[in-house]
Amino acid sequence: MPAIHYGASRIELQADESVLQALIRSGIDTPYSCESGCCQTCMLQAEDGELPAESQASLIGKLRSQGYFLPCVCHPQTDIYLRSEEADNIYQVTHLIEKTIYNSEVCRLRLARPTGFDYQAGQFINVRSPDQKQLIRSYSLSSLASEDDYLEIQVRLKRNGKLSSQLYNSATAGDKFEIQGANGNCFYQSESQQSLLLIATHTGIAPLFGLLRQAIAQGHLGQVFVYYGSREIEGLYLLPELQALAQQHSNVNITACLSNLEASLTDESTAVRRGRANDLAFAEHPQLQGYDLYLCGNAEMVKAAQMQGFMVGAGMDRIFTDPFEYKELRKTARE
Amino acid sequence: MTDSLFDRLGGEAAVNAAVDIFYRKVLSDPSINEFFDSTDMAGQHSKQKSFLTMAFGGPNNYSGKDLRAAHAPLVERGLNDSHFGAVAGHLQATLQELDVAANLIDEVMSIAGSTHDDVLNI
Repeated sequence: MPAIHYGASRIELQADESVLQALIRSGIDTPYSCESGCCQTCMLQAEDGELPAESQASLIGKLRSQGYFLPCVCHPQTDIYLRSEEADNIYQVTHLIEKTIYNSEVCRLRLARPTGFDYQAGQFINVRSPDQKQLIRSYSLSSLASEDDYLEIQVRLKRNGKLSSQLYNSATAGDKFEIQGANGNCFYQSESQQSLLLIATHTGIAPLFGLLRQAIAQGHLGQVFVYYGSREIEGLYLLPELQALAQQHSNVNITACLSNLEASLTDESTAVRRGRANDLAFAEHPQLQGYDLYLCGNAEMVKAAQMQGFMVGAGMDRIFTDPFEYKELRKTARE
Repeated sequence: MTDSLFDRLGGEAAVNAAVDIFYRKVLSDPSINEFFDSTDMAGQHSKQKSFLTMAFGGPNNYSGKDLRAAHAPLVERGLNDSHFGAVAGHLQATLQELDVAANLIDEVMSIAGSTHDDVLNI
């Protein structure tokens, strides 16, 4: 079996084990989160060895050519020699400009945009605080590079969330952070006349909001259908801003969806529908040939919607996803 | 000068036109869809592209050994002749749906058929 060389250590890979699993098994404290090749938290740099295509596929060319890879999806056939100092050069310093609390779970953070930091609305960044470099989490960008001089993320306070609790509860203007990115392919890349279907749950609305603004800024002419889902009405924190966009642009259609069928509605006329966002979306758009789909939020919803959308005619390469995969914090994995 | 089968079919564009149609047929077929891992659709889709490229006579890196190794876990789960036939049937139906000439379909089915023993680990 091939081995991983990390500093003075030599770790022989066990059968079916990823590089990340081998490092963790050997007690090496290396950051990770989704363990499925999405968030890029675990990214490491190899100095030598053959990196399988899958372990670099989602990285930009510049990083690939420097030997960066994702150890969680790396099953090498040869020995791999890791750079043992941290690859600090890919993180850039920023600071918090403004924090707004939306509701009991969600806050909006606006960070200073580092010089030359380029991104597409809907991509995500990896965020850490300078004194806890191992604590890295991914957040999707809701700002628009052409209009905003800040980077905006919307953070949901997770139960036992290490970084989200810091950001929601204690982060204040001036606090320094380090960010890496932007990553991901869930950003506006449609033809102007195309019909678009956007489906989001909870803070999945953040990247889609940015994406929607980008579509509008680029003069998108086709119909845009947004299905925004939450369990409770309080969770639809971005609805006013979305409805404002719909009022200004006749091709933008917003449907708010409450999945908790017993949730009470204070005002029945606010056009909030009952049901899951993806179920309502596919019921109202049973045929999706020629549509582009943008799916963000709960990982199960995103995967199910990807399948549903594909089976009713959306092209596989026209379905863009940003699944929010949360780090497994339990000591024993879920079944 | 004779063009290769792959060229005559339309090359990569033909693969792209076929893959979504083919993959939908496979996923809709309850007799075989359990063999297709639905947790990584993009990855599976990519494998379908590779398979079609090979079946269309296009460039591929599959060796008989690769096909055996890739399908061995499925054979252990019961992959058999009827499943192979079902997939082949969907491939044929896809090409017919795309109005591909009958003689070209025959060539593709011949290549696909040649993988039979490797896929079923016979």
